[in-house]
Amino acid sequence: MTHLHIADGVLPVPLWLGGLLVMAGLVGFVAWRHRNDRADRLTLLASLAALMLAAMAVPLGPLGHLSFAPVVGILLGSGLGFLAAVVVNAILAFLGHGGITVLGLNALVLGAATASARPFHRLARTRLEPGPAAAVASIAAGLVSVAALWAVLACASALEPAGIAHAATDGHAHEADALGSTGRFLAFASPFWLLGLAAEAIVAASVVGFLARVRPELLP
Amino acid sequence: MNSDVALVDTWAASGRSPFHRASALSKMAFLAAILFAVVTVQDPVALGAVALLLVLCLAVARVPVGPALLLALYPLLFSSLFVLSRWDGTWQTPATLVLRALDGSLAAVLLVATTPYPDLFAPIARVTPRLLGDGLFLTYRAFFGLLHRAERTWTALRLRGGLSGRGLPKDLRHAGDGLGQLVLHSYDRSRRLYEVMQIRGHSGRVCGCRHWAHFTAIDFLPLALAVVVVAGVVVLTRNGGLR
Repeated sequence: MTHLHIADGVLPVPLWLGGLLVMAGLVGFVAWRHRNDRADRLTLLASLAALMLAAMAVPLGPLGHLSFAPVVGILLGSGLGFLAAVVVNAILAFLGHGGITVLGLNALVLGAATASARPFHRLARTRLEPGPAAAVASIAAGLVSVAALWAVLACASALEPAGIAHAATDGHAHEADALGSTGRFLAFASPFWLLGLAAEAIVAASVVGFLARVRPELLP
Repeated sequence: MNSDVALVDTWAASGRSPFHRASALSKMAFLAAILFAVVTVQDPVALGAVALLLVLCLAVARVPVGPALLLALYPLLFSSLFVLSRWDGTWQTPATLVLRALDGSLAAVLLVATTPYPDLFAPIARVTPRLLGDGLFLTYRAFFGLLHRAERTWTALRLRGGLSGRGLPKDLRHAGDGLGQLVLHSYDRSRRLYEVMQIRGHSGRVCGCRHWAHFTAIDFLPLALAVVVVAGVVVLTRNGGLR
């Protein structure tokens, strides 16, 4: 639900290039941290990333779907959770679902949710049962992801203050007010994000509650 | 979305067109040329011409144009809020944004619809850490293992009235129950896959296929198209049609 879903050619080049570089740096760091992991961590990463793709078939109205990112983050942990977000976004980008150039930014936004979910869950578990703790962690991780998205849009406004300018057919240049358009985008999208956060929290509570009953050893 | 992936995989695996026979690297070069045009060209007419070129390529590749266009248009639904927020009262701005999105999506769809996934991910696995490169390959493979199970779960939930499709809290709790079972299934599958990899002597790298770099005369087709697109962008630059 907090996917960027902005296509190629919309954001300023320095922004998406920066996103790709930051993503590459984080992927390199996570790969180095997990360099001695057994191959079963790789197969688990792949299985849960595939489940994220499958979960995206659950619709949340006409403009949204589940991301399942918080649950995958709780189950995989911060590093592998971030890699799962990168893998999912890469596959989606190849299907034309989110631009290839904005893969880095998409991965950072979704990865913010997967990477922060387990720390929030651990914190919430000190006071709550697994299911409600997962709901709290899901909302907190979703807010981190939305904050990352806001940061991307703020950077877009700062890097391209004149917005999208082009020569119109009558020869005059029309310019969109980028700062105003960012505000409009936030105003349009915020209700969807709030609904998405609530939906992810309900699903996270349900899944983690179920796992706590049947296979508690899978939970951190 | 799930059926889209299966559909694209069928197109990639069953086609015999010139695009299917070209190497993954030359098609990636064509994709890079299209993306270069998408991020630089400002003129909606030129972007429309690129879209037409891509539709023609899809037809040459014998990829069903209708479903491929629908697949490429699907992300526009999600980008619509962004496009609306950027509207400045002219038709050019939304047209430019929509055509850029369409061109990028069509180019990506052309690549994946004509390239089997081992060839698609092999060059990426060469330049990325093992966890990411092999993760891409195994995720795509695992997705197909999960696809039918997930479809059956959603069908069962719908038939029993568990999913009304309106995103109600009750729907979401039921979807969570279904996803919980899929999580268990995913854990078991990942365990089995690991054991299979061990038995087959997994050496630390999953994808060793080299077809992606197997160049033939047919590779001149995507490479020539890439040159044409880049040359078109250069010509437009001189005429002031860029950002």
